[in-house]
Amino acid sequence: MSQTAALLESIIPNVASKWPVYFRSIAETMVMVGISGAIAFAIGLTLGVTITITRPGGVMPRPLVYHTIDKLVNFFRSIPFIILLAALIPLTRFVVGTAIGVKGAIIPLVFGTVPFFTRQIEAALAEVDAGVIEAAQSMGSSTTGIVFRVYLKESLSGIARGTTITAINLIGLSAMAGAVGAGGLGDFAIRYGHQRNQLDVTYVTVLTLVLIVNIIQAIGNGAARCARK
Amino acid sequence: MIVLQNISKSFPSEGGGSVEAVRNVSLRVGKGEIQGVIGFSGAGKSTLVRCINLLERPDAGEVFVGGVELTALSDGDLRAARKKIGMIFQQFNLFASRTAWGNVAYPLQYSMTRADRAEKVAALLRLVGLEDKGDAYPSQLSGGQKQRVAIARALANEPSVLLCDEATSALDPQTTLSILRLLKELNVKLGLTIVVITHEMQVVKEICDRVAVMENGEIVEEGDVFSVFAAPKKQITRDFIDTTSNLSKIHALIAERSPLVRLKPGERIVRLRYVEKNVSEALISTISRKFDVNANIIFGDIEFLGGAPIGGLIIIVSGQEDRIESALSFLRSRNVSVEVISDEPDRRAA
Ligand SMILES: Nc1ncnc2c1ncn2[C@@H]1O[C@H](COP(=O)(O)OP(=O)(O)O)[C@@H](O)[C@H]1O
Ligand SMILES: [Mg+2]
Repeated sequence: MSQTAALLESIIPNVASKWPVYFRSIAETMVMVGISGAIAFAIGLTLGVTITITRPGGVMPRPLVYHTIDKLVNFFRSIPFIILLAALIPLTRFVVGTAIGVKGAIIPLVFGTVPFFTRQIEAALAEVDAGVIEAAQSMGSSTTGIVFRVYLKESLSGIARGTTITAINLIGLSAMAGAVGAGGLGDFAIRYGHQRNQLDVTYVTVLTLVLIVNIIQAIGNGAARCARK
Repeated sequence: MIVLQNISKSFPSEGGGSVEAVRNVSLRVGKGEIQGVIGFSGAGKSTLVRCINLLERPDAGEVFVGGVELTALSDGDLRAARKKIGMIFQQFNLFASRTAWGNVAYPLQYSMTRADRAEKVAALLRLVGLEDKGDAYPSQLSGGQKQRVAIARALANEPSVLLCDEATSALDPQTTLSILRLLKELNVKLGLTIVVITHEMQVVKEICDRVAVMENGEIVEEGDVFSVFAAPKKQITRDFIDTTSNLSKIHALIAERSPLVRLKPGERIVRLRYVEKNVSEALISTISRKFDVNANIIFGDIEFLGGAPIGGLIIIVSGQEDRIESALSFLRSRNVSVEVISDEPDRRAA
């Protein structure tokens, strides 16, 4: 045990000297990704479903709703995240009281993720054959019934895939948010790896992110396979 | 059972104008009848049948099913009414994420207890001959089996009407026949009123009591299957008859100067068609005997529709000119349609 510790100390001295900070950074990233991911999942799923059913020719066409969501999604998707971070500071302060730290990162992360995830959901639901929706309508299914018992059920595997891509994306965004003071692995890498030139910190951070992304991808693939049945 | 009154439906078209998919169509389908609607692709058949359960809302006209005016119902009432109108499709449209059992159970979900539902689904699967396929996913079933699942699903709420939009068009001839037999059986057993949309003459011949011929969004001809096909009034109806009859092959044979149809002077190629239900005499031997002409049958295509022969023969008649004339008028007097296709002797033969 002490041998391992000694070994680590010799290859990654700067990380080994601040294990608690490293692990806190991982935890912060998890919290940021977890909370903003859960919120973005709920909002994006709702918007993706709404945009699918309200589009012209959908099961509940509402042109106004459709075009509003469509334009908003496009608007937010076209803003680079780093600019979004700065632009949302007043809103974040107003809502959560602070624009820094993990708490301050959640709103920008949600805004950065929802438009992308909405499109992922929209694409997954578009895979459901129009004929199948029609069959459900011909059996007298209500709009709610069609959403839950046909759209969401039939596209489960597509939704799992879209969620995986979005989660991985979100980790990237959270590292960026970290760099501007939100904590987490991004903050860790910038503060020590970049600003204090402790290269081993940067490398360990990169490896950690690669590992997290792979774990998420593996879980996502498993879920998609399960759902495809 | 079904009454369509002056139904019209147009769609905006690519160019900015509009396509009139269905124009002012009226149709009545009696209880327990199998009504065919035949037409070429783009004739408006699917649009028409989708107007019956209002998957497509007509721009004008009224739709009644079982005495209820669907076009006047609220959304909620319409959904309830749709449960009593089953529909099956060319592409089956099964839920890929559900087993055969799950597909059939889908429309029953809220309306009954678990045990009742299980019993009902089992009975439906038995009805369509798939009692042992309940656990199979659609991807594990053949086309014919998928359509059987779709039929069971469509019948789950015990509808009085079943709409079939090209339900056999994706199936091979053998499977088509087995599905058509099943539909006929359901028609008899359950008193189900069935509307069958198709572009295949065979389907109409096999199970329909009545047929409507559609062209450019309009019903151009309608009646019981025998009358419509025995005495077609419109060119398009004749075209459909020709798709399954080999009587029209004669023109190809003449065009390619087949030795089969080379005429000697005085000979004629004649097409005879049965247009009445009461043809039972042995007409060919009668004319040979009575008028002393020879009738050489090139080919025939006679089948039975509703117990009466329909179709006809292509013959080459030879004999004295006036005898041939009397023989042909005799046939006409027996309600056989007589058409002289060619009386030109082949020059090389002459
Ligand atoms: N949803 C639609 N939007 C635009 N045009 C349509 C739509 N449905 C049908 N049409 C047009 O209406 C006409 C009739 O189509 P359809 O009823 O599908 O014919 P059929 O089933 O006899 O092949 C075609 O010209 C088709 O292009
Ligand atoms: Mg069609």
